[in-house]
Formats: sequence, structure tokens, C-alpha cells
Amino acid sequence: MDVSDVKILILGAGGLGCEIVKTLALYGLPELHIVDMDTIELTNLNRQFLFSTRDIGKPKASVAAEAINRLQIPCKNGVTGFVHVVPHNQDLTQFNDDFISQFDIIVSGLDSIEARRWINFKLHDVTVKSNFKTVIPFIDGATEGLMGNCKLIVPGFTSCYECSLSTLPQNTETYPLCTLASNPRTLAHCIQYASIILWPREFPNRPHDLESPDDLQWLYEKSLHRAEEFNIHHSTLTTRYVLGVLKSIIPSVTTTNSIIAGQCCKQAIDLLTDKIDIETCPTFTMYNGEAGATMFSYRHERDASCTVCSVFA
Amino acid sequence: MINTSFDSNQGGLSCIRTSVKDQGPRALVQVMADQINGGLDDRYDRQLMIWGHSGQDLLSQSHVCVVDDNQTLLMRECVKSLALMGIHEITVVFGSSNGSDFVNKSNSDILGFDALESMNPDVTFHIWNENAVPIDSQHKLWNSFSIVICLCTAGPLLQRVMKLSAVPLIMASTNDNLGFVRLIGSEPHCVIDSHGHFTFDLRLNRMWPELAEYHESFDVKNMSQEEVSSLPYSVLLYNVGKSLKSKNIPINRKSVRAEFIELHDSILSGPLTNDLNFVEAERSSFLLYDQSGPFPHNLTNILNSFHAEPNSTINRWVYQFVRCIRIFYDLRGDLPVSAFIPDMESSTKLFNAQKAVYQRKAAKDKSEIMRILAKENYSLIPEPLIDKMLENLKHLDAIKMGSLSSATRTISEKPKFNKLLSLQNDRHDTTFVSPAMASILGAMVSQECVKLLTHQYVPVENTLLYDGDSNETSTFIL
Ligand SMILES: [Zn+2]
Repeated sequence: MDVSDVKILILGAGGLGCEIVKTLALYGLPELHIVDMDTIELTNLNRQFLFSTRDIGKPKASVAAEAINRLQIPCKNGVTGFVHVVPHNQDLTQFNDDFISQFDIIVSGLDSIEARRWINFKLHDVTVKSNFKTVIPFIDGATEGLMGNCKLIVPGFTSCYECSLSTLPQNTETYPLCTLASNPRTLAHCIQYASIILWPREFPNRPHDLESPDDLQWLYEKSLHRAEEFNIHHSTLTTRYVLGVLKSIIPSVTTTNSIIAGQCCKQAIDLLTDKIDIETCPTFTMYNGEAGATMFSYRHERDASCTVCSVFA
Repeated sequence: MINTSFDSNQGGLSCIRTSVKDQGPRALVQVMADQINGGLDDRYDRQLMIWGHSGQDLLSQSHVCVVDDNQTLLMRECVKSLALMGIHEITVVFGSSNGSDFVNKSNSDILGFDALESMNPDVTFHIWNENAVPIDSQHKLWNSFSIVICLCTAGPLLQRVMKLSAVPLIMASTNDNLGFVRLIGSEPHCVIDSHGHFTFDLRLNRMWPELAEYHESFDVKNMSQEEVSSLPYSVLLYNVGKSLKSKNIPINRKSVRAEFIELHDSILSGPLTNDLNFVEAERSSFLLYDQSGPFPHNLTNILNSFHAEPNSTINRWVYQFVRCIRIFYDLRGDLPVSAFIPDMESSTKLFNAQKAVYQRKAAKDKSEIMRILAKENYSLIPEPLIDKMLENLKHLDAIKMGSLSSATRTISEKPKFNKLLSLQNDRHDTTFVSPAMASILGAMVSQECVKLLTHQYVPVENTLLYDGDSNETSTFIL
């Protein structure tokens, strides 16, 4: 493949996305597109280094693109001009087939499983519809705390994202309703009671909005009352604690993002320069930095019953 | 008894499970510990979930020095990560061998010093040319650093770093698709919290009098269905163990399971899986035959790792604390009891009562540990750290650091590592590093640096080789 005329689409301009667009720009690739529908928040700034405090509230994709474009990074590989990043401040599932088909590779640093499933389905669909004229490799990065993984998906040649869903960790804990209603023993039980039993009773017509300070305060007060009533130690209960229990917030740090994004970009460059054989190469790379720094790679087997990629089997 | 309308018509405690999200007990313990430590800072919110306020406080007191011949991409990536994570002070020292005496603050550089300096207002930067720093390796400037990161592969700057003896040192380099990270220090490094798999020890097979009395107070066989459903699983386990003992049946997985089913079916109707406290009891039945072992291996490892009192403050505190735990163990034949017990499906009243039994014993054991600490003249350890270590007895550890004298040793089983060393010794062109390799290696270096500074998670022991051809790492001791 000719690296001088390459177009890459980056999904997400968060922790991974900022790293991916930076690293690909440093390779001097001519045209990068980045899509994200979110705006910048203070809690992003410990890892999303293309943003600063004065960018809070602005769209992520635009600010990331502007941060790179402003620097006028020269293209490499014999191309004149500067690296150009095109922002898309929108929901990626609004992209049509023609738009997606213009890219050579798609690299994702998304935080949503549903968005990944959508692009995975779309790329397989494009491959089938074009009768293998358009095969766009999809490289997917994901991190949580000091762990992460990078998956290479080439429609028709490797297993797909859908096939690997069963390998995702189950991050949900379930509580019996009777524990919440009658036998609360922890602060989490009190908070869940306020959230799923008291709130709908008081406000049957609208779900609570955790972004709203008023709603959060209401939930906090009811949780506190519940804890007092049942003699549950509550000196640690704060609105932030309530938020931590009700919202699944993924721990995130710049180092893991840098490692996984670097791994995704390395795969992208290796693909573009024909360094790897998609028929045989390892496709999944797993990383864990909690004890030492272990990374290993293997070729993920296709799930024979996969609804997305079994058409190619 | 509190309103039971939710379960009264469903028989026992067989309840509908709601699927609500939770971060698991560990994350909550972490959040709780952090709340106690006070202040919150939204900028670091997501990483506080990884190492807590206690870890972040240590970072905000640290001064890290990064040394490199040239202003390489690897160095910039490394400094970028350190700055974003909130290291208080970062000093960059670069060589003058490449002819430039001034700091190149080019705007067109995505990771130029301007950009790095504006990434986090909490960080203070110093950028020095090698000619401006003291030649003497014993100079107090070098000793003011918490850690020195050396990315030089040759030259006079490397020679100066190789003379530093007191400060922990991280050496790293990358060439083509290979990279290594090596941790060097004059003494082993203690880990306060490895964040390993969390296990509870309820002491069901070696109870103290109050715990035994509490468990004896339930006449399970003569209870109503509802009363049995409100019992914490430890009471069920205790009864099963007692009954097996009275029948002279050895306690093992099979006998415990059979006895469980018998106990369940004698009181309750329907399958055992309907009764959550029975389900939990079965899942934790290993607590019955989990015998009190010898003094834990990880604690022995800490004591054996040091020939004398450690020099660095936190290492010394961990060592002193573990020595006292050993004294306690020799006196009492067991470790101090933990104040934390897992949530057990049961009535609020019974759970609170049981929790209080553990908390009273934990407080008593802690005061004995405090007495031993005072007697040994180890009174400087901060109490929050003592509390943290008491909760983390299974997650304390020590790792051995590499020595400066072995820094250039090759190792026959690792041909790729030898290749990397020979490339750098030949003064091969090390200034070009691919952006992806710089991103990966720079972050790995900063991550190891943060593990050393926070004493949380387990650092590499002691040399890591990253192989970009196979996308794999390997670790070995040099
Ligand atoms: Zn599939």
C-alpha cells in the first residue's frame, strides 16, 4: 500500500483518541479524520493532553484537530504539505457507507461497546456489498486502569469484534431486591434503594439525571437517611460516593492509553507497509501493568456462530 | 424485624436480582479509603480510582529527573506522561554533545517543552543543559530527586548517572522494534498495596472467644424458615463444621457439601439455590478447611529482603511494620484480625452485630500492634499507613532492584536483549525512534516510575524487554 496517499479515520477523541491522532500525525500521514460527539470536561485533562482548561465545554474532535493542525507538522514519505486533521463533531453511527468507504484503516479508541459493534457490523457489511473490493481493517483499542487490549479486525480474514464480546469482563454486580428493600447492610445498598425504589416512587415521570446537582443531592439525602435508619456506618457517604456507585466510571490513566494507542498505531503502520500477513498474524494483544508489565499476543479464533462474520466462513 | 413485603411471598430469600451496576467491593473500599483522606481533585478523578489519594499525594511531593543525550521523542513521551499524572517537579537534563547548548522550544513540536509545560499547571519544570548541572554525583542536587530516569545509551552524561548510588534509577532505551526498561536501586523496593486478588479470612476455623460465642448463640436446627433465611453464611458454615466434627467426619469439599444439603433440606423446602445465604455459604466453604498456615510468604519475603533497616522512608516503615507483625504472630500464633468483612446476605441487624464482633477484635489487635511498634521505637509510621497495611497484609511485598554494576551485562538466553545492548554500545543511531515505540516505551517507563513513587502495584523485577515484532514482553532479573 502507498503510505503517501493514506486516509485514516479515528473513532473517539478521548484518552485513546488523543494519543492515536498524535502518534499517527508524528508519522507524517497526510489526512486523518477524527470523530467524537462529546465536549471537554475537567476530568478528561489527566490524560487527554491535546486539551487544556480553557477548552472545557468545547467539542473534543474540533479541539483535537485544531491542536494538531496549528503545529503544521510536515508530511513524510515524499508528500509535500502538512498533516491535516478533519474533525467530525457528531455521532459516528450517522456516517453513511460512502463516507466510511473512503478510508484505508479505521482506528478506534471508543468507550462504548455499542459504537464498536456498529462499526464492526458496518465494515463487514461494506465488505460483503462490495464483493471484497472494499476491505477496511479495523483496529480497536480499549483500556481500564492499568490493563488494556488492542484488537486487529480485517473483515473476511480475521475474527471480528462481535466474536470477542464473550471475552469482555462482566462489570456488573447484582443485588437482590429484598436486600435493598429490607436488609440493607452497605452504603451501596442504601444508594441503590434511593435510586431504584424511592426515586420512581417520588418522580414516576422522569428518571434521575446524575449530571444534575439537585437530583444527586436528593439521592444523597435519601441514602443518608436510609443509612441512619439502619445503623450503617456513613461517615464516608458523599455525593461523589453516590455518583461512584450509580455511574460506572472507568478508571483511566495516560500511561495505559499511551501504551495501547501506540500498539494500535504500530499495527496500523505495519498493515500499511505490508509488514504483517493478515492471514496468519496474531490479532489480539493483551496488556496488564498491575504486576510488572506483561503483554502477549495471539490470533483470536473466529466464533463459528458469530452473526456478523460467519458469512465469510 | 423490618418490612419484608418483598420476599414474604417468594419463600425464603429467593429474590429477584436487579441488574444494577457496581464497581465491586474492592473499588468501594478504595473509594472509602480515599474519602477519609479528604480533598478531591477532578483533574485526577480517573487515576485516583487506580491509586487513591494516598498515591496521588506521594506523586504531588515527588521530584523526577529525566536525563537524555538528545531531546528524543522517547524522552518527550516519558515527560508527557509524568506531567499529566501530576508529578510535582520534573527536571530534564540533556546532553551538550550534540552541539546545541540551548533548549529548542520549537512551536511546531507537538511534544515540545512549551506544550509539555502547559499540559498541567500543577507541575514545575526545570530544563537544564548538562553543562549547567554539578559534575559531582554526590552533589545534593542529585540527591534531591525521588527518581532519576536515564534514557542515554552512551556518552559522558551516562557515565555521570552511573555514579549515582543513592537514588533509584530507571534506565530505558529503544531501538528499531525493541525496547527495554530496567529498575536499579541500592535496596529492595517495598509494595504497600499490590492490588492483587482480594480474599477475606473470617477465622471460622480458629475463632477467638467472642466470635465463637456469637456463632454458638444460634440454635439453627430449631429456627423458623424466616429466621434461617436471615442468618449470615458464616453461621451456616460454623454449624456444618460443628456437625461434621461431632460425627467424626473429616472436613473436605465433599463432606461439607453433603452436610450443607442435609442442613438445608431439614429446615427449608425447595432447591438450595433459592436461598442466597446457603449459596454464599457453599461458595465460601473453603473457609472451613483453610487452615491457619505458616507466617505468610509475602511478609517473610519482606523480612528476608533486607539485611539491615532500609534507608528510604517508606521501605523502612513497611519493614518495621512487618517486623512487628512477626512479633505479634510469634506471641499470638496468628495475624491481626481485619476490620473489614465481606457483605453477607442476611438481616441488617445480624450483619451489623457480626461486623461489630470483628471490629472490636481488629481494634484490640491494632492496639497491641501499636504497643509493639512503640516498644520497638518504631513510632514514626503514620497511623493511616498502619491502617492501610493492616488491611493489606496479603498485598504487601518486596521486589529486588537491579544493581548498577550489572547495568551493561548481557544474558545468553535473551538474544534480542543482547542485540539491543550491542546496538547502543555501537552508538548506533538511537535518535530515531518510531512514534509508536516512543509512545509505548515512554509510558512503560513512567508507569514503573509511578509504581516506585506510590509503592502501589508491583514494579518490573527488574528488567523488561518489549519486543515489537511479536508484540510481547518478557521480564528477567539482572
Ligand atoms: Zn465475528
